[in-house]
Amino acid sequence: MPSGRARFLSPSRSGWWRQVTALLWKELRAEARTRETLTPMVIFALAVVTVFGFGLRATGADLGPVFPGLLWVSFYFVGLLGLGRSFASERAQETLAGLLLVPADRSFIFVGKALANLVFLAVVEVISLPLFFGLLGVPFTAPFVPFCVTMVLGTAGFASIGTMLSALAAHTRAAEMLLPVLVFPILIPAVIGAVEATASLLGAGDPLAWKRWLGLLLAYDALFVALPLLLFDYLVEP
Amino acid sequence: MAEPGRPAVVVRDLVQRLGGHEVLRGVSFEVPEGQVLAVMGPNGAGKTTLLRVLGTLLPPSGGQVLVGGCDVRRCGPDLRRRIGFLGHHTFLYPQLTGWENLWFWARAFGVARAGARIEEMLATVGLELFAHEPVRHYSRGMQQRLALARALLHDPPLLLLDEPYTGLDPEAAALLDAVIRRWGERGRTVVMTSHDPGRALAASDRVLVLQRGRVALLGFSRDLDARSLEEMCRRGGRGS
Repeated sequence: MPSGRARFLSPSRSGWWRQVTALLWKELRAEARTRETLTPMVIFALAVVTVFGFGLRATGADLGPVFPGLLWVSFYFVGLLGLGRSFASERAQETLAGLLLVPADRSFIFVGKALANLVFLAVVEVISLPLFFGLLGVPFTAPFVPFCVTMVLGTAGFASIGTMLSALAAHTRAAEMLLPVLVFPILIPAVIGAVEATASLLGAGDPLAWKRWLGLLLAYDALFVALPLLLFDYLVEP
Repeated sequence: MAEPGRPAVVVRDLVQRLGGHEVLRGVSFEVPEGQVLAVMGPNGAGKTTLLRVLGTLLPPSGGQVLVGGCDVRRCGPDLRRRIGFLGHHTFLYPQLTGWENLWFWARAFGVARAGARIEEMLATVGLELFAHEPVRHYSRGMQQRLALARALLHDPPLLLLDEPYTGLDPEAAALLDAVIRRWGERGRTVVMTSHDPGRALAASDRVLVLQRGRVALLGFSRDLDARSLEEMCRRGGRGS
């Protein structure tokens, strides 16, 4: 039984959110100073869209049917750059032990890091999406709000599972090599859901199937947010 | 010297294995509230491992460790709130300023009136003028002082200091002496490791010497002299 003092000190849910927002603030502040994560992500995204733009448009083929696949695979590859740094930087700076000393359920580390990864990837998407449509010559015909919902859900699932696996890979010596090998097999349902949902919005697939694919994305996101919340304490256990 | 109070730390038959090697072998001792305990011993004796167990960074392999009456295996977040830890690493983010680092840790530890507390801590460690400089521009000694401010920020009843004098100039070392003394006077408990017998005797109420993971000596600082302590710490390391 906890003592009276222990009960008085029990962390509240608002305390947990405060720790999440503190970590998110730290991540964004540090990134704003150094741009060590966003700069390579943006450059890589621009390089990919340029290569696809010049490489595929020259064929004269209609890129509409393959566009959603190109879009999501590109974003997931770009996202790996950010995920790789997520815990590697804490290890390099020897600050992970400090985070483990914070008086909170350690899932706050996962949620703060996942939100930061989501923000970084969203910034890259906002910058590079117009270029994808422009350089690949695919008209933007999707309804705006459902398209944004699809982008957010497709990105959130990736950020969540990627952050968890980044924490796992950070324990190993070959973290950079291991992360893609771990992420992509588990990401397949999200890739299918995101690509099909985007295709149905852009007229490259069954227009009535959007809700069904969105349901798959929602289920995937729910599973891979809940799972790390349950397991994260064990993943970062000292 | 502080009068002994209730035990702030109780360690009974602590065994700690790391990578198949037994680093601590049946260590037992108590630290009453308000006392300063200096842990000494040669390299590899288990000092840092002991501090990491007390700080909840390593779950004990065997035995029992109570901090403030709480078992380190069971109390989790509640217990971590009562501990201030200054280890070999500063837990500071070099991209952030000194003030921003303390702001982050204050928010993480739920420090009330964080702004005022940060100003107070920066003044305590003499870094007010450098508060808005990125930490990567700080010298090693300045980083160590800021790390001390970080460890004290949430006013923990137990302060764990792992070789805190490393990298400090004489002025900063005197400041640390004053902080430790004041902490003890306020009824707070300090467990620190040190390689410097003179400084450890001056700063502590009691001294514990570890040799090859076992307690070789536990005595009052006033009854010990620096030369014999130094001799004990030269013997009994993992390599000796």
